[in-house]
Amino acid sequence: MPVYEFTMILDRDLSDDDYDRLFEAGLDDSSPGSENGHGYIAVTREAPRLLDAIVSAVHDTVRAGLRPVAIEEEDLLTLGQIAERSGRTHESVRLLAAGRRGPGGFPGAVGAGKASLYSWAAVSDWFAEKLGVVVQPHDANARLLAAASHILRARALAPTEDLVLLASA
Amino acid sequence: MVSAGRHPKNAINAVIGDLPDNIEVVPIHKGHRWGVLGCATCDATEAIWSTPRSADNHARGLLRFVARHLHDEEG
Repeated sequence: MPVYEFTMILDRDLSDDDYDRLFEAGLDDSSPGSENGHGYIAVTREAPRLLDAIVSAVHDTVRAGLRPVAIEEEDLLTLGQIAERSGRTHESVRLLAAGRRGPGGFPGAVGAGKASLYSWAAVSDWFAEKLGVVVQPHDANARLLAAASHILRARALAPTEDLVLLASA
Repeated sequence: MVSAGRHPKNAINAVIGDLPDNIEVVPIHKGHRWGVLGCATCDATEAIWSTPRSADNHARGLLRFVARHLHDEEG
């Protein structure tokens, strides 16, 4: 089953007790944390579709007594995810990254082996500059994450029944 | 027997055993948290679970924290 990664920004910072509540609500597959006074949950979730991963992660968070107010796309990708976004095979991207194919100078990774993560912003720039290939910066999953984030922000502003009416107008 | 500073999952040890200077791991053993990753540059923290659903996926999440907090390399 595919693994989807994104970060949910929460309505407040996390207390000591929140961590256990999040774990017990089903977010034992994710990494909650705190940054600049805001709580967040870095989600790493196996699900049939991204939509299922988002909906279940939001449900789990609400069940733990917290409210996600935005979702951020993950810029850090594996070589497999880069292959998918750039329309190349995994082997082709692996060789480009290793400098065994193409002009070299592929953006550096954090971590080693299969766990290596690359910045999509840096990699997509490299494709454009070195190969003259413009890779789609925002695929369908990125658009869904952006839409989900807008809905979470809207939910913090207006009652759900009003949002349903607006969405179906 | 697992030592106090060593996480029982190898995939997680691979991440927390090779951290940049500005990121520290603090074992706390509190509830479901085995410890915390902390960034000394910006004070951000992230939980390390004792028994994550998938050690490999949790390790990947922690690696994302490390990558986001490479402040020095960002210049």
